[in-house]
Amino acid sequence: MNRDGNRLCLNFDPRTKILLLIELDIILFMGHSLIYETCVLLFCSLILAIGGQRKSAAKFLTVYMVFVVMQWFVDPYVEIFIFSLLHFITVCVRKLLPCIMLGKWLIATTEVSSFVAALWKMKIPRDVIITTSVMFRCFPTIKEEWESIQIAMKMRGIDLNMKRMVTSPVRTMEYLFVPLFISVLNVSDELAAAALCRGLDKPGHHTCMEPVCFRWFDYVFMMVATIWLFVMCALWIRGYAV
Amino acid sequence: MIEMKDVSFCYAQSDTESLCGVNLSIADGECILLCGKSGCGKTTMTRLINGMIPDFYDGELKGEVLVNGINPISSPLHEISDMVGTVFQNPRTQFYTMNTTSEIAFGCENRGMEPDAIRKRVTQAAEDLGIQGLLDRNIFQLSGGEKQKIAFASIYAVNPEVYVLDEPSSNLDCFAIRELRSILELLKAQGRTVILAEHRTWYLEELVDRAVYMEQGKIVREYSMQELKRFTMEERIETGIRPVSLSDYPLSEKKSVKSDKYLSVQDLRFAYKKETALQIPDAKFQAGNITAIIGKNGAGKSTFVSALSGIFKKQKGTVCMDGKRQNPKERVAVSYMVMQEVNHQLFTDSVEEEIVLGTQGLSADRLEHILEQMDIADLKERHPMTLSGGQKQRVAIAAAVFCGKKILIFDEPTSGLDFSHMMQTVILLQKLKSPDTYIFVITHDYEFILSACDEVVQIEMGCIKEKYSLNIKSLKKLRDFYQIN
Repeated sequence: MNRDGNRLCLNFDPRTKILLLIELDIILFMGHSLIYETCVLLFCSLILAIGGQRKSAAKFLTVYMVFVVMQWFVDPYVEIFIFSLLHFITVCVRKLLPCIMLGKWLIATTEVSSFVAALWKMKIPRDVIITTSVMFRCFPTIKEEWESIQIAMKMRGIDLNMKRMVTSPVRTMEYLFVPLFISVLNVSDELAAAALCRGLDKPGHHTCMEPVCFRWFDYVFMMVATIWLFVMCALWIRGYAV
Repeated sequence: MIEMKDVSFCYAQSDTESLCGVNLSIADGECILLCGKSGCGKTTMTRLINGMIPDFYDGELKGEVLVNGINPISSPLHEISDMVGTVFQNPRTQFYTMNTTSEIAFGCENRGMEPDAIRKRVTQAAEDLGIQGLLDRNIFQLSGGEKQKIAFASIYAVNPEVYVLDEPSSNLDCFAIRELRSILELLKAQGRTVILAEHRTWYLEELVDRAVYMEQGKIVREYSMQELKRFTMEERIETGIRPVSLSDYPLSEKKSVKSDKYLSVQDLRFAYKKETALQIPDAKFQAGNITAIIGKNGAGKSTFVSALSGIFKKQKGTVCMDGKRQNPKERVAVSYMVMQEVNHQLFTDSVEEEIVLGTQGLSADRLEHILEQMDIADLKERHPMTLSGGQKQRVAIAAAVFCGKKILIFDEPTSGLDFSHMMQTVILLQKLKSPDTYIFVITHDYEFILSACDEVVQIEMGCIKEKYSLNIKSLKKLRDFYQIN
């Protein structure tokens, strides 16, 4: 978890993170050129780098570059089925990369309590807060459950591998998702029960030990993203393509 | 003051009453133990007191419940949460945040306290419970016992008058249980009312004022801890209450299975991210034995059995089974682990399909035989997820036996079980003994070890510290480990 003063990084308000995630996702799909996409991705990498995730910013940048180069290599052969499939996959993943980056950043650097406090400040209805925050809390648990289910599958000789994914994909997926869904359901139930017993749904003012407030960098980044979005909308209405 | 008058409750999805005609009155500052077999209604009692019924669990209620003059049924859950704090059974799923400090602060934050006041409460709670060293840590990296202490601290910070504890010890080792006991002593000294639903009683002897024994939703009678202490084996099986005193618990005679087959380990090593987690120079296990793997949380018990069964690819060293050297892949094929979270290993939509999964051309007679042996023949068509915990466990074991697995590993099979269900697991394990099967049980459960295991392996810092077959002579070693005198 990143904190002020611990490292050289800015601790954004969770509301800023949510807004950036939404705005940049829209911005991403408003342009089509490679340069435009690269700009969006660089902006996201900048956010990650100063928001406390320098390593993963670098990782995503590398992945992006690999995909661009790969597409460049594959392009001349798109008439061949395998290559066109490959082309399709690379473009899809590349397109979605900024969403994945910001989503991961939001979850990895936000403490659930400040997330909840931010939602209360946004005057979001109580039921929505409870559901979203339980979901938010579930991600790391899903990871734990996933690892344990993989071991169980291995011991039954039905582990996830390439061969099985190709020969019987539906079955293999079923074996993975049936236990996963059931345990996630159980876990989220128990989580919600424990949280409600500690007053998660109390009406009135909720606070946070780590103060949740906007600071200068929150305003700067929100401004940049919002102006960008407006400019794109204006261009789009006038019929310019970027 | 907690008052229950003629209370009956029936869950919405069920046709039988979980509580019928319960009368109970608990004075301020009392420590009450709710005991009885699984399904006797003790958890339902706790849910009535902490207000989870009817906000979280719907159903039909008759009678009257009052907690300090407030009716928890008609008032909203968050109002009761000021007065009643709850610690649940599973330390894994009662956390809302990912950082220990912010977890302890969570309850205060929900009450809109000022950040400075919250910080003071968090520091105070950590000091009182002696967990300053656990502050500002990632919760996912804590052991079960540490998690349970954080759960207590997060309730303690809110300072409720009543503590409701639903089987708080079931996932803990004996050292963590002793620490739990000192927390309870503190609460009692502060005059808090404590209501515990629990099977284990050895850590409660001096704490509990009254033990309320329940059967099928009714309060049958009340015992003092002295009376529980005098229980015979038969009475324990009948009531499901575990022994109050471990020191006079008897070592059982076990069926011995003769075998000349061995699982031998040479220079077995494994490292997580370059940090040595396991180092076993030499060890030998005889087939037909049940071996208990004991050790503190984080000592390397799971790592040991995982390496033995070949789950890790990158382990070093050799393992020979029945005289033949076997690589990890070959060992995975003959190993099976019955996990604590048994839901993780049920994949299909019927019991029969579950058992035959991954096998080919094995006979129907054999299937019938195993279904009989595991006592699940009449559940053949059922969906595994509709079964009870014990039944699910038996389905998982049946699958392992049907696939012809030779190394069977059980991860805490008796945690959270009452005495009679624990004894059923003991009998089940005895049935699995055969001259070519190796059975390993990771466990904290002293009574279980004495009733079921032939051999004990104590793991410490990734090494085998002690290895002995369990008999009257070696019992002292086990007792020393558990600090029972």
